[in-house]
Amino acid sequence: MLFLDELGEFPAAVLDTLRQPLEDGVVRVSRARHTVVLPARFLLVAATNPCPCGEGGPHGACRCSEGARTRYARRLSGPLLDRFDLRVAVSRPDVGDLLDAPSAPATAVVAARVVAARALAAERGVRCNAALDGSALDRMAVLGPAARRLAEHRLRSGRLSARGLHRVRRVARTLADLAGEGGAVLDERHVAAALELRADVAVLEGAT
Amino acid sequence: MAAALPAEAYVVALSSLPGMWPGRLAALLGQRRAGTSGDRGCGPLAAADEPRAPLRSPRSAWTLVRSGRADQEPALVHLLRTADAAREAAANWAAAAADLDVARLWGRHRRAGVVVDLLGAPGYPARLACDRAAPYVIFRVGRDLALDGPAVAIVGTRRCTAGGREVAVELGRGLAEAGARVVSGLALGIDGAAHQGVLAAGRAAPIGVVAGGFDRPYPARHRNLWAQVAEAGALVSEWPLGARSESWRFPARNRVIAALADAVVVVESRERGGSMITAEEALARGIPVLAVPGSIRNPACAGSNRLLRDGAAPACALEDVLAALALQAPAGAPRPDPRPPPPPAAGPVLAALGWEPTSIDLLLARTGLDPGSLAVQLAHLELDGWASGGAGLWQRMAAPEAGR
Repeated sequence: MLFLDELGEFPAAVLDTLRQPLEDGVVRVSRARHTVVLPARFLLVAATNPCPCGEGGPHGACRCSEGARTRYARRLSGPLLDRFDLRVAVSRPDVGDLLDAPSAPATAVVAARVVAARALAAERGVRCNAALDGSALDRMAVLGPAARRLAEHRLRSGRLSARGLHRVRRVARTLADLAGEGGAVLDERHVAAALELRADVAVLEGAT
Repeated sequence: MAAALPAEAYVVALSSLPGMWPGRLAALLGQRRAGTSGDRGCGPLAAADEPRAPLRSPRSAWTLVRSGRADQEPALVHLLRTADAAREAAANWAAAAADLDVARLWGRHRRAGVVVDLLGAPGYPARLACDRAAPYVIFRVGRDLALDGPAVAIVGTRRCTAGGREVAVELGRGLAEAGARVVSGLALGIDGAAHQGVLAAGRAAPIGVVAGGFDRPYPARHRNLWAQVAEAGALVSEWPLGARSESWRFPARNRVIAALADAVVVVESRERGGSMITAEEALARGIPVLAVPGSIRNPACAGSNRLLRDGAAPACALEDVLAALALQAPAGAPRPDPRPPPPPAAGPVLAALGWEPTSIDLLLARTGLDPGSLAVQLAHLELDGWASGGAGLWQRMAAPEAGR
């Protein structure tokens, strides 16, 4: 696993070099007349602030100039962010509400769910659902009419790209597996949750 | 030899020169000025001491500048404080003027349908003509500025909250429906939202006052908005085609916004910002300023709240602004809500949603739902226009969003 903290602080050229290994799972290094292909299959996790001062977001405590925000957002290029399957916005929680919230399940319980979900993926012939290609998705991650309606709304409003839709279906497939639902048709709940886990990137540029 | 060019052509050429602030242009054209925020050192009180230059025709002014002798104008030297500064400015302008084809530039403006009105000419907007800091030249595309009804400026911060944006859209729409002409700066955030509301109403014509040439929409994201406002109403600027909306032009532009308005509404403003300048310019002209009250925790409202503390009238509803303009709300039945009623299952989620952006984590804690069920409810509410969300933050919508 590769964890990049403060993704926006990396030079754009460096972030660009991630694209090939993310696509192909390999890194090609060429020197003189030799090319070496090295395996580079990894899980990429990144964290970033919405702007350089770290206070950004709709509540508006940001102290950055417009130019600084735009430059910062530009480094996190559209194509790079589009390759993330999960984009989770983390905001400052309201303490009172959180203290009253129900507690989260134990790791062991979650681990068991993951093992069960992986088993379902194995039955489909893949190590994990990320490996499902377009035609496999059409057979094994089918959108029911309600789910399709949700996806269409996002596609039409431009907040979801075609490539993004593939990713959403894979995530929804996994959410269904984690819930113990192995059937080919994806329930609307999982598709909605997968869409919600794919946060709008425009907010980084300060568009509310 | 081409036909003689009108005076406007030379004013266009002069205002295209780099660093030709409004005060400097006026100094060259021989007009005593009370000063604008774009020039330092000239205030209404300083007027008595300023050397008063004889009125110079734009064509002579151009000749003077082109020959590098702009520093022979005492009013300009006074403005720039030292003879050296004036000499440098004169040299820079002469160099820039050498590359400028006046006839071609004028032709561009004619072909683009840009109307150029000089102070004192019949077409010049009457409302600006008597202003103490009237621009010497006004460029316009679109309809006449003859205001057949009151004008109200809606201004605010670029980085507004979603709630502030919604208020701006509603005010824009409500005021336009009541027949007021809405003036704003076409900036990101509040300004753009106000005009989006006006366009949605499809009634009274918007007026967009911009800080550059009409061929350089700023910000780029508002390119379409500029075109729509020009189509439905008018775009106004103190600068010719080709001018970029550089930051030094904004204070000057804000005074034009204030000068064109019968009332100014600040929807959301930070402690310091362009809309605070617009409010100051309005107060200096005796134009009433209203402000929308905001959360005391929100820095985006710190400036607008301060205006309230200093005596601006609160704008808590459309009626407050209409009252300031002595307008009536349009008669007739209130517009029915076109949205399908939310399903009963969505009740708890709607109740947990606030009018300010609320995070998913908070909604999960408040409703006790699992993420999948919550996501479905939110998605349905969004489809029907009852909620709006992005990047993990959701809020209720008071009215169906215009143009989404």
